[in-house]
Amino acid sequence: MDISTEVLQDTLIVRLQGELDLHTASMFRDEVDNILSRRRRITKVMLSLNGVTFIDSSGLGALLGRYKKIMQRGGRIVIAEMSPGVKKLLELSGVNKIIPLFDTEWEALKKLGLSAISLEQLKSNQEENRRMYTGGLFNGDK
Amino acid sequence: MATNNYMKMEFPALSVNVGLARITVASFASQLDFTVSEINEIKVAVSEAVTNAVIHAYREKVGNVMIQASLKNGKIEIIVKDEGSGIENIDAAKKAEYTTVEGRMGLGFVFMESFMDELTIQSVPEQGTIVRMVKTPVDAQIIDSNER
Ligand SMILES: Nc1ncnc2c1ncn2[C@@H]1O[C@H](COP(=O)(O)OP(=O)(O)OP(=O)(O)O)[C@@H](O)[C@H]1O
Ligand SMILES: [Mg+2]
Repeated sequence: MDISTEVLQDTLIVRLQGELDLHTASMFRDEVDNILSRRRRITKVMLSLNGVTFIDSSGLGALLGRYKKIMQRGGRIVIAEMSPGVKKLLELSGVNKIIPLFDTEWEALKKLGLSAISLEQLKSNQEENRRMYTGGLFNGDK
Repeated sequence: MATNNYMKMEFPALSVNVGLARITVASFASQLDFTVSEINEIKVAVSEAVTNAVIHAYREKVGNVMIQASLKNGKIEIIVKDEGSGIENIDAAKKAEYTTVEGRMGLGFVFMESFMDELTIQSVPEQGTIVRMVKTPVDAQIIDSNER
């Protein structure tokens, strides 16, 4: 499991790659909860599942756990970019009724109310990191 | 028709082995004509059964998980066995949202049931649990009913 994180003002962006199961869910949980407890100003979280190839009930439980965490501070959380297999499980489990799903990171961030300036900033970070970066922030924004 | 085949594996109930188990069984299953989405369903079902053995069956000690998978008459049968705490009330355990561990979804058996054609659970408290699951490729089912 690969986890990369980025903080933009009050928004935490988490990009996951690999298989989200019992073993990796705890890595994901610790990483996100660490950032949330260190940075009290964060009230919005976007989870990008672009590179997630597998998820089961342990992974779904970890996603829902972060939802509960962020709700405690009156925040919001959204999920972006998932494979058909992952989307199916999010729907079957009813997680999609609790955490809104978006096809692209762009739509998800817009929904979180990120300002145009922040999105621009993200885009330029993105261009700087292009060679290292494997997630697909503007994939759907053609 | 593929010849009958089987495989067995055994490993300590550690979370790191859950991925190994589902990938091994999925690649064994691919000897039948399962679609990509059916293979993913098998992966989820195996992951759930093995995860349950890791987190519920062995709470104090680390015991072993045994898996047997067989291909017979165009079906795969998967048996996941532990010698752990067992399940007090199987009917309750199968219900959605039923869990004995805070923070879990109570979806494992629901996924096993909806992704596999058959699910049978045998369990004796303090002795262990045997989960048996069977699945036939959808393609084969269509051919089957056409021939009848
Ligand atoms: N192998 C097992 N040994 C002992 N108890 C088990 C075993 N498998 C399941 N159980 C019991 O059955 C309950 C329901 O299992 P199920 O997999 O449906 O949900 P869960 O494991 O609690 O949550 P989730 O699978 O969503 O993470 C468990 O909470 C546990 O009490
Ligand atoms: Mg379970």
